[in-house]
Amino acid sequence: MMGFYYFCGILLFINGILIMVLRKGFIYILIGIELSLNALSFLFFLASRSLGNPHGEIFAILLFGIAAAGIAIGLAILINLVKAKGTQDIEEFKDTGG
Amino acid sequence: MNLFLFITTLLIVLLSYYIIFSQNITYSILSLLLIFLGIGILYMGLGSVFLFIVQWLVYAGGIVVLMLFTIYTLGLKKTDVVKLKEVFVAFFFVFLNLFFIWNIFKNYPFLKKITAFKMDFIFDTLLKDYILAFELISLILLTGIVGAFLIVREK
Repeated sequence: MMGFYYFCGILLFINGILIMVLRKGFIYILIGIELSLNALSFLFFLASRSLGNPHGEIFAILLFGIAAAGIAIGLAILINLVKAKGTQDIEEFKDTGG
Repeated sequence: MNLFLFITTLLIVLLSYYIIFSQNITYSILSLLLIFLGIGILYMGLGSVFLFIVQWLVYAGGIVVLMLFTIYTLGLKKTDVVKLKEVFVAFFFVFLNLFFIWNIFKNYPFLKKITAFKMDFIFDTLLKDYILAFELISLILLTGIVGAFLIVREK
């Protein structure tokens, strides 16, 4: 049963990467980052439970903070980009430099 | 309880596939909310009530609401269509990878018994061995708040 949870955690992480790669909307990239980080903390938690030491669970707690800081910065960048270009399609942001 | 966790896990994976192909941003974020709630249920079923509460409060209560608030403020409605050719190539490589991962995991000796820790033991370790990482996380959060404010500020 533990192997099944591991496998579904890996599937969730891969699906987060796929959402980042396949979709063109900026909000989908943020969704993919959040999904990958959450699956990663779930995998850390599973490793902590099946190996019997608490360090994995501590890493899961620390990852929550990193994900929250990341989504705050990401949504601020999304607001600025939509204000500047009027769309969230990342193909439109190729000339956005500096 | 075991069957309940099994169904929850399957539902989470199916919902994450739904986000890849979904055309509606609101439905995508709401299925992300269901995924977060489901992972929280898995945390509780595997024995950590603290991570369950933090998952529901921070992710489901904070991050999803923040994303919904942003897309309603900006009025984002239109979204892109996934190209089927890219999807086929991506899924081919994903299943190739999963085949290798499954071959590694097939003979791995997973423990049958799930260890449970008490919360005071975990926080003793967190605040003694990982005190530097803990302070750095608080610094990252502070930098994130100030940086987000500086990015969206009107000139």
